[in-house]
Amino acid sequence: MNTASTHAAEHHGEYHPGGLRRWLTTTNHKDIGTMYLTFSLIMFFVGGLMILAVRAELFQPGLQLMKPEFFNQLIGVHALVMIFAALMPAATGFANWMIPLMIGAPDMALPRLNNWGFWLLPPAAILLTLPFTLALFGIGDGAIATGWTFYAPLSVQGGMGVDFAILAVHILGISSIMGSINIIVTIFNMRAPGMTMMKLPLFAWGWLITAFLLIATLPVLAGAVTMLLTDRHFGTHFFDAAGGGDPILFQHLFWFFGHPEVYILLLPVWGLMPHVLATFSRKPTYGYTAQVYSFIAIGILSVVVWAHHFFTAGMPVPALIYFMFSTMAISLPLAVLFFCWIATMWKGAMTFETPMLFAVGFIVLFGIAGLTGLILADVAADAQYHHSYFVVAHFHYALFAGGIMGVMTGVYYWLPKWTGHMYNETLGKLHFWLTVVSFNLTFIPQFFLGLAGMPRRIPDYALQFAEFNAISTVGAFILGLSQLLFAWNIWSCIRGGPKVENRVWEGADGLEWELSSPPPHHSWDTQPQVK
Amino acid sequence: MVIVPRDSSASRHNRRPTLLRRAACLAPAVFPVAAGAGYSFNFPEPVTPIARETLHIHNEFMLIITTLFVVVFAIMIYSMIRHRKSIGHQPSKFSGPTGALQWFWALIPFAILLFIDFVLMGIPAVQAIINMEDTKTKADLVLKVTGMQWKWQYEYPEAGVKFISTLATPRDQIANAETKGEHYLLEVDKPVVLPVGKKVRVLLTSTDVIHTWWVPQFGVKRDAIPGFLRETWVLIEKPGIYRGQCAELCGKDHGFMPVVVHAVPEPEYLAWLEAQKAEARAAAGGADRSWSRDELMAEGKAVYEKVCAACHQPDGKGLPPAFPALAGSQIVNGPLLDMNGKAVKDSHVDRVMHGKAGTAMQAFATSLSDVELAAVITYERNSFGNQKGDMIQPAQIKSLR
Amino acid sequence: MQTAQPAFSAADLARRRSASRRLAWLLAAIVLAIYLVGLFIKR
Repeated sequence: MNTASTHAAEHHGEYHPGGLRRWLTTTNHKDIGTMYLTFSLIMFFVGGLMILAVRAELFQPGLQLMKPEFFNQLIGVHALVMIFAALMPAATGFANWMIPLMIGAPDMALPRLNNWGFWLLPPAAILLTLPFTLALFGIGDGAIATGWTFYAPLSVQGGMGVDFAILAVHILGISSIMGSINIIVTIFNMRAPGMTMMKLPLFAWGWLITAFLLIATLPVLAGAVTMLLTDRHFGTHFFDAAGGGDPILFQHLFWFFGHPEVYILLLPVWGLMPHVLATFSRKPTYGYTAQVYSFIAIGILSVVVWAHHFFTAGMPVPALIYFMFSTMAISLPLAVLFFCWIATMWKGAMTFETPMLFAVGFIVLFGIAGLTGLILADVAADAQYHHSYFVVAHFHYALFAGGIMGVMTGVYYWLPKWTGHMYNETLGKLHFWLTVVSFNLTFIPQFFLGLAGMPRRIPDYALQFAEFNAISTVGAFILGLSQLLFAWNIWSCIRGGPKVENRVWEGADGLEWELSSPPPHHSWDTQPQVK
Repeated sequence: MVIVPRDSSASRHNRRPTLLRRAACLAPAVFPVAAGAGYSFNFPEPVTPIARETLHIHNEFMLIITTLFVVVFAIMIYSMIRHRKSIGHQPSKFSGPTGALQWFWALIPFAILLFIDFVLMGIPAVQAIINMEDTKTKADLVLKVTGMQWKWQYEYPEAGVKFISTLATPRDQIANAETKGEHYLLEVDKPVVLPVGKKVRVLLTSTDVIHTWWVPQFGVKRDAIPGFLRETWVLIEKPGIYRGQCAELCGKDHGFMPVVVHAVPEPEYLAWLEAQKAEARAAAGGADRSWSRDELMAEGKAVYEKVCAACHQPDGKGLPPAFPALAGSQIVNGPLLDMNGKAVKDSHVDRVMHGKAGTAMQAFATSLSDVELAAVITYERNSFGNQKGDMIQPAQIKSLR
Repeated sequence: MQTAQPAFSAADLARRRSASRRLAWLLAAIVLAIYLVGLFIKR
């Protein structure tokens, strides 16, 4: 990564370590952003390998490759890794790289906190995956096997893998909270003069809401897993009916965090989309104000819909009706976003480089996620969908087609700015098409499996589910292998490639495109003029 | 039975045809599937009013969201074709609605969605929910379902009938050592029997962790939560055999605890119930007589294999640390009862009858009879290399309750 | 036309930094409060 300063003389006397020391001690938002993104890419492959093992087992009926206990570990750790170690760090990497550049700030408001926030991640990732290794040596019986949702009392019963996961979640949570505090403070306090809140780029708005959601809900998750820890080891009975507690309390606390979490994963992407669409349509962003208010509305609504994750647990009819309607209400601000995205494209002069391909793919496939989410909200029909493969397909459309493909959009869009080189466009397009086709091949059959009655989190299944499972597995392997193209493209682009201008893309607009590609070590040495 | 699947995916997708075609070619060799099964695109046939209502709602909603999808993305694709730089289209400069007409176009979709959500979808949904939750009106009988790791216990409280229903698929089929049967993983030793045409109030609970009772053709899915009672209801309209599964991750054999319900005309149901009551009386009577060592060992072996082997393994070696070994176990080789004939805390009898809190070892006193408990305890103490030589009578177990 | 001005003046930067520190501690306190409340919630 070449961020070497072009003003060498001005840096006389400053401390610029090289090698490992540089990365361990850096407080530069660009370096830290790079570390978040690198960590995320590695963990994406780790989580991906886990689920390929799962899909290999599910290729045919019968148990061929692993015991059910191990299967249960793989599915839970896959989810924890993808959510906490791949998606969230990627979004945080984007925030670190781009927010200061976009708002004309010299760096994040709290640069040292920024460094700590990142360096908590590698130990947390090790904690999550260590139990697998320990089990190989006969210590403990493996990683957490309750699914990423940790439901009590199963999680109270579980072995030491649960304790490792609890600790990892605490550390990951603290890291996210540190990052969120930094982002809020930076956006409020470090904008260049003239950058009013209603001139703030939508990516920053998306992250602002995300950061508030994280601060409001992560502590509740931390509380829930702390209570789980004390139920497990210190004689409390929060989730044990025999002791006066209630297992469903855990579900309330977990999903109070868990539902906003999915919007935490998506809001940064929703903030990024208008930038990409406006750039490649060569038109101004449509409905800036509407999108800002939609972000805020979605953020607020996301906190009051959590029980739709456990309609079948049994709750009073008024509660069922309330949660159904409040959940459906989220479709309204979301529809505003879709409208504004398409209206941004409408009557533009579009070209379809890789970032735009991913953006359009995101809109279509995330649309499927949103629409299937709407029917899942229906309590009556949910009796059939809940905890079946229909839900698995729905949330993969939301989190892969929405979250991960959104991240890929951002990577292709900003990689030339970060590195100063253009990536390989042919390879990018190939990656896009392979990803989209194989993704659908993997998950469309899963909708039908759910409708046919296949529950989730089972290592083996009845014979009528065999065909769709086989197709899904084939799709998954193609999907996994295609991501190697992505990694290769990124790696080559870092090493070299055709040089790019400050304004990498013809239609790009914003302060970040006034800086060189790559930007200088000190991003904004001179104050930008905000239009 | 080895049948070729109907549809080869290779023809539908022209990406990487070699890989897909190869996979499809493997299919006949590898899928022992009954012909005709496999490509279903909707819920299975509904046999209760709830299931029919749910299917109707689902179909309606699928139509609505498919229409929304097609309309919205037709507009977007149109734009992608016509508003391209390469055909010379000049970009406009608008960034919001200008003028009344544009405001109309912007707000109309919002209004339509509002209507769809809260009227078109919402109102039928509310009706359905109220029907679904109405468990008590005109219920004809009660079925109590208890989830356990990893089996279901069914109870007909009014008749005093209680039994456990376990997966009947042989482990060899799961391990791919035998061809899989038609109802692989969806067959049990003792199915639930219910009368057709009667409203059954289903009460659910669990002895250990959360399980979920789900029979797709009934349209019913309800959590079984330890320490709490949940309810739902079914009114089966058509005789038949209906199969479902546990739908909440509950440990290692979550995928291996199916639900099988035989719905039969009422006279047949009543006859079956009588037979069950007679069996229960016989089993209870068994506790009053003295059992020989051989009788206890034989019965104990059967109980062990059905109830205990899943965790403690057929050879008694267990899967430590979660499932301790019984072979050479301190507890199994410890005292049976104290001097007064009472159970010693944390002893073998105590453990089997009352379980161990905070672990998967549940209290089998609620699900096994006196005979079964006495037999399995005797069996364990004299198998797997254990040679305690003692035994315990059903009557002694009965006195400990 | 953009006239280059020096980056945030030293005084300005100092003000922004101390404001940032204050806000950061406030947010951290809110986080801690939510955590403690969560531990005491009963259904």
